[in-house]
Amino acid sequence: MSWNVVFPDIVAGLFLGAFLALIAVGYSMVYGILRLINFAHGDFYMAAAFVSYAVLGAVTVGTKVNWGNVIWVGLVTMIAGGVLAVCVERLVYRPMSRAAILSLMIAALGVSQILENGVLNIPSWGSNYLPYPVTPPSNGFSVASVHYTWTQLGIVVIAVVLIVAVYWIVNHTMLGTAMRAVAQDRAATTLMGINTDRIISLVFFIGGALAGAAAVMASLYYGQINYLMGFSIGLQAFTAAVLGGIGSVAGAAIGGLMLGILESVGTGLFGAQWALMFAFGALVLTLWVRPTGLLGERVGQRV
Amino acid sequence: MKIRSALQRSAIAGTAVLATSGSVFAFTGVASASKPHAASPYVVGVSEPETGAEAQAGTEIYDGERLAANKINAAGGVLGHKIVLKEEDDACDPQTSVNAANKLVSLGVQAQVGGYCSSAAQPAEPIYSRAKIPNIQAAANSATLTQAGYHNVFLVDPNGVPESKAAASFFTKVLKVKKLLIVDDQSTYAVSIARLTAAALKGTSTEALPIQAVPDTTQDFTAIVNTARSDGATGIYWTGYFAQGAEFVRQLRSAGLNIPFTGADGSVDPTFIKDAGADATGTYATIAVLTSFLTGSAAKAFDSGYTKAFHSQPGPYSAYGYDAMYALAHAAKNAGSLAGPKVIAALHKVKFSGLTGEVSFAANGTRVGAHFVIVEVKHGTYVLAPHQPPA
Amino acid sequence: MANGSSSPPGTSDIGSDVSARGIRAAAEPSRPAARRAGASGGPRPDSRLATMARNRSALIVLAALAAAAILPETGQGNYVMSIAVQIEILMCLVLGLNFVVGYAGMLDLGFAAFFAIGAYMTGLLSVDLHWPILATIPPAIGAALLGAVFVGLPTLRLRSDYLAVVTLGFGEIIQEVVTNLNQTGGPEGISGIPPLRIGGLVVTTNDGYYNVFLVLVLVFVAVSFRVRHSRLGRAWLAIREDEDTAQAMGIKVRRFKLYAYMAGSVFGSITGSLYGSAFIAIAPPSFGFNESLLVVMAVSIGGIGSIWGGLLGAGIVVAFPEVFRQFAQARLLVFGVVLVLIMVLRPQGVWPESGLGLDRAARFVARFPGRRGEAIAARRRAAGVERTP
Repeated sequence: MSWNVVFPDIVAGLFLGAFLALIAVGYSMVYGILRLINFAHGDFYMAAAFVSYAVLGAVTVGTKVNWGNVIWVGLVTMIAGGVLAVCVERLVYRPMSRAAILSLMIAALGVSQILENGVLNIPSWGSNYLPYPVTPPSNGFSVASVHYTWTQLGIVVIAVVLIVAVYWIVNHTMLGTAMRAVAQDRAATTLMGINTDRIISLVFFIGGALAGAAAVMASLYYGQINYLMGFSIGLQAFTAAVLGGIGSVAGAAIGGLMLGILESVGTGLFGAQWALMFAFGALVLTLWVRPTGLLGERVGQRV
Repeated sequence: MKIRSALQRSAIAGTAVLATSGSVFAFTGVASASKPHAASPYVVGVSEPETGAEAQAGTEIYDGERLAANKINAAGGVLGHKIVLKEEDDACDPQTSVNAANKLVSLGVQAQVGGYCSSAAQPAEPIYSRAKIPNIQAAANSATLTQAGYHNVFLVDPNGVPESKAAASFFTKVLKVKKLLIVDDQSTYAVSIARLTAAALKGTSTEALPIQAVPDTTQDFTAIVNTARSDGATGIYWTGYFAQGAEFVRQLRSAGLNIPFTGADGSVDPTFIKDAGADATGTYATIAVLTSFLTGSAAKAFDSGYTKAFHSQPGPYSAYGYDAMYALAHAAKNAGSLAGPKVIAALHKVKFSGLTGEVSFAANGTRVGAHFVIVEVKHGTYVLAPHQPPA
Repeated sequence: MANGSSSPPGTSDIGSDVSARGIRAAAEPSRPAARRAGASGGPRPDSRLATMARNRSALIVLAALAAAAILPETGQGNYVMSIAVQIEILMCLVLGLNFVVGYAGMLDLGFAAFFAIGAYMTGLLSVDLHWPILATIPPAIGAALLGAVFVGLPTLRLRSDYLAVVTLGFGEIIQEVVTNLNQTGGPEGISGIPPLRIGGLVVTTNDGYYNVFLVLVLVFVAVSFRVRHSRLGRAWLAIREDEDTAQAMGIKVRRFKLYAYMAGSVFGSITGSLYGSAFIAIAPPSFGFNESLLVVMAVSIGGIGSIWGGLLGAGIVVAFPEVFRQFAQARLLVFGVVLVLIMVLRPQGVWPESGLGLDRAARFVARFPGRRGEAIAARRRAAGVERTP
């Protein structure tokens, strides 16, 4: 296997991994705080993409890219994603706070169905593959005869910045300490005088906002949106979060990158049809060697 | 003591099951088929995916049929009876499709025209056969559908053989591709085209590289692009759907790979041009569909009528739905009756010029007469490619 | 913790005291049964009342079974019958998953893999080698068991959430394999699977398969009951309540988890084999993550671990989307809303292990003044049944 062949695949994997990492961090944070596999997370991403489509479509004139528009629509979308996540948390998950986790998961499935089929039943959207109003330019640079665009680079940079910001919030601020405390022991944290409900909502907001950012970036890059776009990527993000060690921001980020690389390299080595199998195989191997994921901590269970 | 309560619970469970099925029955409202007289409608069932990943194709088929039905009704209907469409969701799933079939039959439909997924269509075949009504598949075209021996099955979408022949000829004689990378999306039709084309290229000057299959949810094609580059591909044949095709060609071009890109008929759609933007220019496709992407007044009328009625442009399967509905209408007119068995017999003999070419069926129901051409994207629309492969 | 509490077993309420529950679960037989029969030691209930209750229950049970048995004869039409068959198929899958999720408390997101293994083994053997359907079932079970052991052995020591991902991966892998391999028919799958032959009888109609699957459901229910009240079942329940305590009590947790996974695989595979025969053709899209989720959904809606809840959940999950056909394209939207409502309003499931809550409903009625309330209250006092409010 020559370097010439594997290197572009690794770079491609890093790029795909950047998206996955953004969504995986959101998944992981929600999981860390509620032990909930939020199946609706991928659909937050999808809904945010449609919101950005509508807003950007309303303000875009012509084909020249107005980066100012893109930026403020991006911020609006992040807020929209966060708000959607918080609404779902308040309306669906909080009333179920004493229920078994499996019931919460099924409720999440229900929310996912509602979001997907809600978009499906909007007349002008439906099942169409809608072209994104803004197409970024494709000029770029070449490394080892492979051409990369500035847009790609920009997307990776923004993703890294966002993840680092979240990591900093979680690990180096009082707020983050509160989040980690709630994740570790909700009852005790309440006793410490912290409003755990608000912290949980905040975590959902951050997760949703990250999904919103990923949505805008993916839509810009891939150029089209569809009501089922969240399903597959949500699943992959969840896998990435587990691979990296669920509950850990750095873990989710690394997991996302790793999964992206595994899929790309797997495609290159075995063909696209076996890529997912290759990725899952690697996942099982990793969990065998490190049962709590790459960066996961051994969380003891109370007896 | 345990047994007593266990029995009690089984009692409630049985009642619950009964209640659930009873409520379903109540909602079904079984209607008996009435003998058609002058004013009664010609009820045609449409089983297609309304929900799920194939919903887009389902909508295209249904809208194509609706357009045809509207036109037929405007001209007086079928033997004086207006066509009424009854749509049911088959979700591209065998179980849902069976339920849809049973529901349609219990509602007394006199024909079924629709269907996109072969795997869903198959278990429903005996149901329509027992009801002795025509089962016209608009887009599902797997060979397994005609192998089960049901005489009421008609496939409007030709199987992969004519298309793959045209494609192979195009690659060897027109584009003269040295190494062709064929990529499919793991759906039955795409896979069959891919394999048939690869087989047709054996022993020719075009080498078919190992076929790559991409799950139909994939948006990121960078790895495939890398494979194309490292394998030295000088041409791409994408046999999947237009949405992913647009992604594929975009990422191909943005990685600097400017080799000719050809799609199969599933990738022919205005959305392909919109989504791929400038990268769509110069791409080719093999299609049998002669819609307004090309010249021809019938085709133009189809496109403008479709857009006016449904506020979206026809997709690759709209024309098959249109032709399927017309096949039924022509057959019923020729038979002089709406009765299932008579229409079925007439369908075996029907022959007319449709949007997708000449429409007629072989003895086992496979489509005959579809003619595949190569189209090219120029100036934002599809035009007939200047060099067509020899027949 | 009171038996009548609404929080189901396995609640991950951090800080709650679970060890007592764990020990009790390992030691006691089915709690609701004991309570309902008044066996907890109060004065014997009015014997005439008890006899009437017993006779009434028996009558209801017989009526329900008879109704289920004669359903084909009542001329319901193919639509209802095919839905009934699909409900039964899902019931069988639910009973299989019940061992894994319900009894042993392991989250399995890839149960469709065993369904697929059964269906494809039967498909391959019956179409390529012309084996009769019944003969294909043992090899299918063998393949499923192999798969369960192969996946289970290295991974069952993982925490439940990691296990969830691994089982999800297993499900995806099986689906990818059957989609990509030529031998399994690729994306088109396998068609022309012959009908089931039992003795001289050939099953070709909806009604016939309805009866076949009805028998299967009853067999699976019986097995589930027997297992539940056996040492194996109690060990599983102990593991579900509190793994570490169970381990401390001497239960070899990993081995029993593997047994649960294997038991589930057997049920799933048998169901898959008969499914292939009933639907003539099988294709990869029917065996993916969506199917696994459907089974998990049915188990959760019904009530985790509860046999009757599982059956009811299967009925709901199949019937509701069909009932919602009147909403055309919005039918799954309505289903999603209903799903969320059920989960929010009744998270323990419609019919959880702790019972339907009819007794609480009766208590509620009893609080009202009037002859009916007083009659109920009087009967309950006579029966000596006590309740914590």
